[in-house]
Amino acid sequence: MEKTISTNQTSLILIIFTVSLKLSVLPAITCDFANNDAYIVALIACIIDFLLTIAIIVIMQKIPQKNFFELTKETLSKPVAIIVYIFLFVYFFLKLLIALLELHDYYIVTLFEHLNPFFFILALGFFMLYIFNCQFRAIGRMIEICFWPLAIGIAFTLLYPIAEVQLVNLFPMFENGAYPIYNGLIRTSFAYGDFMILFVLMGNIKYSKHATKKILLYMSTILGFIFNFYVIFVGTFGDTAVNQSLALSALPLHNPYPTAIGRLEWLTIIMWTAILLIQISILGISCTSCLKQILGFRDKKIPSFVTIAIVLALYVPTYLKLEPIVKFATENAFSYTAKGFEILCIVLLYIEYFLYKKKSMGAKDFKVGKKDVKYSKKTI
Amino acid sequence: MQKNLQQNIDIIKAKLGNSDELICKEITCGKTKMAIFYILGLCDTASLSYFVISPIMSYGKDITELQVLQKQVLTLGETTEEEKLENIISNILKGKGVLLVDGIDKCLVLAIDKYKERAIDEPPTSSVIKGPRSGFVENLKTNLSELRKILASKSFRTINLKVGKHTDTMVSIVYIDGIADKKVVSDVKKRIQAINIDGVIDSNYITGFLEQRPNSMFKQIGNSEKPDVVSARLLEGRVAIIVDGSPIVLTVPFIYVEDLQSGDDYYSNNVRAGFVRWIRIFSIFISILVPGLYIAIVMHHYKAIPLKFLITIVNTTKGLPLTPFAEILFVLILFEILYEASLRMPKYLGLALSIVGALILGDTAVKAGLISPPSVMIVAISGLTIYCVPDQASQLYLLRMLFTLAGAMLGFFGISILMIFVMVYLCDFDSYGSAYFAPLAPFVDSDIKDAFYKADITNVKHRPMSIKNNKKNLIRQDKKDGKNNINKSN
Amino acid sequence: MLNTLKKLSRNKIFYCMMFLIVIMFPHTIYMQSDNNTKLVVTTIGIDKDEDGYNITSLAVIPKVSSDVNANLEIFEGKGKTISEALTNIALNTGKEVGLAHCDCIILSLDVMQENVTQVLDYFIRTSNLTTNATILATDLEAKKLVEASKSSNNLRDLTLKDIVIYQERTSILENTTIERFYRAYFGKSGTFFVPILEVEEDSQGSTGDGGDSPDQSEGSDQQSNSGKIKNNGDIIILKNGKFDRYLEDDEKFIYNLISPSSDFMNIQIKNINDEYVNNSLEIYQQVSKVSLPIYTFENGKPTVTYEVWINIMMEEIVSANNFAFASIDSLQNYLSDTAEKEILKVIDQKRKNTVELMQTSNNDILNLYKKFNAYKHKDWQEYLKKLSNPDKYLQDVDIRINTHLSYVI
Repeated sequence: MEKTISTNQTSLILIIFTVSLKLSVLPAITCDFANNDAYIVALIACIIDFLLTIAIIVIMQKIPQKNFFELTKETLSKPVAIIVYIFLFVYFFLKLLIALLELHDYYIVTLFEHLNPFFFILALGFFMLYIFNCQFRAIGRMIEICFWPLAIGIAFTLLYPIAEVQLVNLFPMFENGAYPIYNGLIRTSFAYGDFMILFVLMGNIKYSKHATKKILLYMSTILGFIFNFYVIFVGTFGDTAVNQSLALSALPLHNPYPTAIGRLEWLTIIMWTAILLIQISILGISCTSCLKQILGFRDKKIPSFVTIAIVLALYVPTYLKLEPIVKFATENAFSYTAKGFEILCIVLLYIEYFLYKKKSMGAKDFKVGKKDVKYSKKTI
Repeated sequence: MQKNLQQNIDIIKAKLGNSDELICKEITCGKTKMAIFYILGLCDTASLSYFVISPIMSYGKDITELQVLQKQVLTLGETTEEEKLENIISNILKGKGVLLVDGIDKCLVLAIDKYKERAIDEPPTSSVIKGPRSGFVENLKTNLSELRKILASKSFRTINLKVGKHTDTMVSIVYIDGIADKKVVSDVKKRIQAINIDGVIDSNYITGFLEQRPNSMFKQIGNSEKPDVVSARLLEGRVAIIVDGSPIVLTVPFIYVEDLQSGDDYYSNNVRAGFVRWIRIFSIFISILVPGLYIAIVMHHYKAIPLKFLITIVNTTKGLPLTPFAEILFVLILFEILYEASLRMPKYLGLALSIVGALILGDTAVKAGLISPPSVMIVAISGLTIYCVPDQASQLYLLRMLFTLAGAMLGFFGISILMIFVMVYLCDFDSYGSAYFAPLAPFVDSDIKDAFYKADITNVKHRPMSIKNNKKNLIRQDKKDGKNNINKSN
Repeated sequence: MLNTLKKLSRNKIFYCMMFLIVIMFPHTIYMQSDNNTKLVVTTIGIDKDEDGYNITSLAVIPKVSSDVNANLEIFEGKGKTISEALTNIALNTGKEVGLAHCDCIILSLDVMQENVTQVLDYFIRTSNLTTNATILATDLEAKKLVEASKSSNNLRDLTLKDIVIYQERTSILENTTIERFYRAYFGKSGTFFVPILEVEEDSQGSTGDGGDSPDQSEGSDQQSNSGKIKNNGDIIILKNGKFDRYLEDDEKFIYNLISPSSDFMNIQIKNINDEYVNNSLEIYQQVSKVSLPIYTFENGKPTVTYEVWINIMMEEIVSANNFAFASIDSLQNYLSDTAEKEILKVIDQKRKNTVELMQTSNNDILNLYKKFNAYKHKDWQEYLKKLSNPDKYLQDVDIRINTHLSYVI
């Protein structure tokens, strides 16, 4: 049985999840499609994400006790729920695979000159073996503890290169028209869609007062950070942005001043290594949770084993091959499919909510609505 | 028990193996024969003579009921009737006297036990600059009396249990009714009652039975040797467990922040106390991470340090026979040996051997080119900072070793993975319904005042929400006459 | 601790950790540190050779010494490509070349005659070079500059980069790093500045003569024979990765004036006669400056106007005839109307020379293409369409400077 998490923990999980996949290879890929308008792509994508998050949270709070699987099972049918969760599992799994490959590339480029691949996979495998079996509550608590050091690390990522930003690199906007922006938006859409984690967290959240405002405030802050990151990235590198394949390591190292006074950029690097690992944990637990619902297990041991087995089976052959996977993820067909699935989930949620409401209106002893949601005063 | 005195005497002697220490004093009162059993060395023979034997002999009349003895004859403060043989034997073994009367199938248990115990002194593990210096001793009654001195409350409750087949150790569960959570009390009681062990020598023996994850290396039960600390914890809603024969009192629920707090914090300036708490937090990170980070940088991430530092390290590690990992491992093990030896060695040799150890490690080994000065310095700093939080010392030692291994094997990646693993593992802990890292995770803003900094006592109006206590009784400072006049000056 | 260990032995996680440790321990215990397996290079000098390139590297070698420069040794390697030359060094030293602390790459002028991108391609691609190294040029062999930098007489704990930092702070140079070079190269302007350092022969007449015995690699100490490093403040212009020309004095003056990042400059007025001095040389020093470019089109022609507010103070008066007693009084405003007019005249003259040079040599030093394209996109595109040769877009560009002087008392 999944333990409940507080609103604060939900918001923090959402923040860390939102940052994933967007700051490593995606900036260069976005620049490839949209040139210097990459930050406009990021802005539009962030706004879309924010609006869709609002759409989900509004419904989630109305049925706090139900998770997505149970809701689908009750309103539509169990086979439909299983199919949706299979797609959800594949969705998170692909993100996990990309995150793992990015993690390796980040370590190799930034930290190591030589990294024994066998040791790397072994250590990562054992780590995943433990973490994928954990619950969101443990991850949420851990993020609560590490939040301020991580936030300072994230803030420094923006602060270091700020002096290098040249406004001239950001203009003119829409130089080649709107098509490159639209193309960039579609092709990079798989990296966005962070609200999908809410489908997995649904039903396990203890909502406090002003929960919606809190979650949306955190979400808007991190989306603002992402937009700023892209502005700084494009403003700093300009025409060579498309060549900075790992933006996260290129940006802090670009500014020569910290290296002159003692390698302070290593603080940000260390923070990001931790954030990448936390992202992988969240993605892995999401996959395990989906698989648990599909297979109908009570605990996560077997689903976590299965997830890790599939991860390693695919990761080992694709080791060092981030590019083909990313190319696949940015194909038009795949991007449209992924985005379509995200929107479909939201539409399904709304349909299920109305069906559920209709069903429970018929029942005499049960009401659903905002008034009946009991907010916990202290979410411990 | 029988009505015949001689039979009772024979039974008791047989049960106790006719031990030489067992004394059987036969007396008469009028025509009534009586016998008093006690173990030499465990009772106060003066009290026995003055409050028991002398009044009986002076009474001179026949005795047919024990109540007559209790109410009219004996001047001893505590006497109880007992008829079960096991309890009688147990009481004799605990140092109490047992008075048998011919013709009565019960006996009187006389509270004349008196052990030689050490004086109440400042405990060696928790000394303070300012504040109370009394500590617990090995006698449960004395310990309880120390708590009662501080908590003279009608809500102060004790539940006495006995544990251990051969030791029959008395264990007291202490709590304040109305503040502690009843579920925690009953949970503790159940666990202690379920203990099936041959003997309990120290409170640490029952720690394993009280922990919810007994195989974990992390501390899950709080402990203290000071009555003021335990009293403060009881007032917050915790439950204390006192074990006879041990000066260390256990408290549950336990949250990690407890070990960052010290009695000194509450008896000195708030600002300084807050600052010192942060020093302790940094010390924990320094103690476990510094050796690992050093070895990771030297072995895998030479690009992380500025050039001048790199040149210094390169020059000092030039020509060493050991690889960096072997060297740091060697120094760590050497320090562990020094630590163990200093604990066990006789006092008279302590100073001489300490000098030898310090010289060997600090000077001769470096000059001989076996180890480098940076590694000695790193391990020394780490060793010192561990004792900023002495209650966590054993865990920090092991964690330090693990982080060193992780740093050597996989550099910063290994350290990051291990750090996240340890944090997730600990975040999953619950100690009797209280989260291990509360009030940080889950975040409880009202408790931060006494966790990571020290707010003034006038601002700490509620009991902590982080631990499981009676949530209906959280207010600590009541408003008098509807007004709070504490900070107003006339 | 023993109790803790006993507990652990019943824990599954403990066994997993022991398994990991058992597997990794044997490999780790024998692993040498990076310091022992890598040659930590701080400076690289690249010269042209008949077959390819000759690389001279300054690397850290452990020695028991408190002098940083005593820990630096020179290693040479030759090869057809940069990576081959570095591999050569590695083969002869037994250590992999570690570029993590390399903050300076010196290119000789003959290397710059060819396309510098070929030379720097290795450095931009390798992930080992994490310091975003500075590019420097030298008129003679790069090897001589590397040897001179090793000498403790020259530097005393300073690196070559430290020498150039002052120049970067006080001129249009900004950061002459590899990344900025490629940014300029891939941009439309294709123009990049590189400071040039010289090596002066020492008074005993002998220079660093490592060239006489060209072994594949030499770890010899060149300290006693190395020359002195000299920085005359010269800057060369690379256009599309190749050496184009030296920056003229007038150009340096104007670019320093309009650059918002340059800190320090002098304005000299010769043969001035005003109420304070006669027939003298006055030198004013910049105290602070704000420079704001405004991009406009006038009659279809691009014009960039720099509004420069500059605070100056008197630095020196060189007077052949008389000593101006009053010049000692720092409360006096010595920016007379005459002096101000003369300053503006000097600036205007230099501006005209600069614009002429810029148009003649077609060097877009100010990156005007990108700026006009960014801020006046429509007008700029129309202007380009009108040109017969769009590459010669500078021919009608005008640079104006409106200088607002104020005297700092």
